[in-house]
Amino acid sequence: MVFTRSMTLDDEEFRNAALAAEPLSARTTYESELLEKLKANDADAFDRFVDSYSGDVFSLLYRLTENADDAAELTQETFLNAFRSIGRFRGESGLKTWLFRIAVNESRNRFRWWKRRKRERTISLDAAIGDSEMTLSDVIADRGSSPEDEVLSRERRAALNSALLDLPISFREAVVLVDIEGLSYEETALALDVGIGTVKSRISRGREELRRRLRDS
Amino acid sequence: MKCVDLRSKFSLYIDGALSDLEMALLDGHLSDCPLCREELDEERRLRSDLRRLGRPSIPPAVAESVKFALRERTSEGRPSIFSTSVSDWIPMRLMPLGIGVAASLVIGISFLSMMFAGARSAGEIISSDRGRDTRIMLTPGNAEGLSDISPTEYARSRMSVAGESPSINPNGAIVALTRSLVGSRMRDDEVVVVANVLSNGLASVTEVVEGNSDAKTMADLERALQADGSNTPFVPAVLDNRGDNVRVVLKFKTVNVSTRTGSKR
Ligand SMILES: [Zn+2]
Repeated sequence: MVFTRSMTLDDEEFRNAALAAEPLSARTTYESELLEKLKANDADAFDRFVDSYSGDVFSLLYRLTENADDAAELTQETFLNAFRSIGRFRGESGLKTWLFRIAVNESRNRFRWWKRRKRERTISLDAAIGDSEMTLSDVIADRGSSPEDEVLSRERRAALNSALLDLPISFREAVVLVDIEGLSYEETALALDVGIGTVKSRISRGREELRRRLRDS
Repeated sequence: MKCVDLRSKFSLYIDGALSDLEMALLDGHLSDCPLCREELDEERRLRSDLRRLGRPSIPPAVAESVKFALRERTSEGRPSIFSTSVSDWIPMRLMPLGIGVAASLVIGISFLSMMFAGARSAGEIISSDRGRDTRIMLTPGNAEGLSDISPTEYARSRMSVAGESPSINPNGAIVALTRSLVGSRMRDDEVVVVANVLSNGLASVTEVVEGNSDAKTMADLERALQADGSNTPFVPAVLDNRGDNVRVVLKFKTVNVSTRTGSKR
């Protein structure tokens, strides 16, 4: 499996990027044109759809499920679900946000399913891979990092990963969407189907909980 | 205002999500309070570290498999194919076995022409090859009739992929079995097995990924894979120009195709 490091922006850039995020009503020309073709059941458009967004969807699902197999399967489910419901999509949000919303729901369904079963199949990011000393989070972080990036120490990364895993799921969803996937509060509200006030409080409390766990660990 | 009350707002502060008034209030306090400044730094560090956590990229095989699944659906409803009163189809898929069963759904996609010729009459085989993934659909309603197409012709039609994904023998036992299953006990089930296909066209199940609750179906399947003579489930290796021992994933599934709605869903 291939992993790459996320694009790293410094705080200022990140905030600007977040602020510049398109207003919800205005979709880009690319998106409008793609959406039209998707609604017309155009097979090539669906290929483009997958090329454009499957990476983001997979990454999100991986963070929410912490399991590469589940993430792969749920990515497929997400797109199939999108295929079934594209006719009803009115462009209330960007396509990616809409897909994220479906993905979040898929992961919640999966989570419920897992709770009924045993969760032992789930691989922790910090579990060693095979007989090696490497963990999944090492693999994620070590590939493709550019030299100028300030690389997180292995300890810090492991601590963050386990703190994230430990977070109540509603906080984790919000923190992952905003801090890892880089969505704006508005987009996150749409993806989680909650009000913006709820996003704000989940982000605040989620980060607070993370810091508490990091302090205690 | 107390430090602790202000600190609960730091998260929104660093995201620029506070009102101007609240921002000004916090700025005022921060310039006087080193403890809160330290606290704010910690909040910032958390946020920037979270951004530096890795973001896994999607394995190419997964993206391809998603595309395939969508292709299957966007093309399924084409009205030109289904002009007869067909309601149930059983598609059968042959997939090369990759890293794991889940990851081996599809590798590479190219939509080659479907063999439309003769598809309009019941009892025909429709096959489409996309890269190394083959999909075969059988129309119901024709119990024993042989296909119009010969094994040789069929294998030739899929020459570019047959090396890795063996051709089904259109007159063979798998086709016959599939036909007998149409609309019957397979209705809501899915059977997925891994099989070894030998050079003589016979095959054996090496692993049952998803079995059928009906034991008879599984027994029939095993028997069909072992049928010899002119009924071998697959064409001989020489027709496919394939290796002596090819591993495939066989998937049987009932699909309802409505002919009335055509491409709209
Ligand atoms: Zn203070």
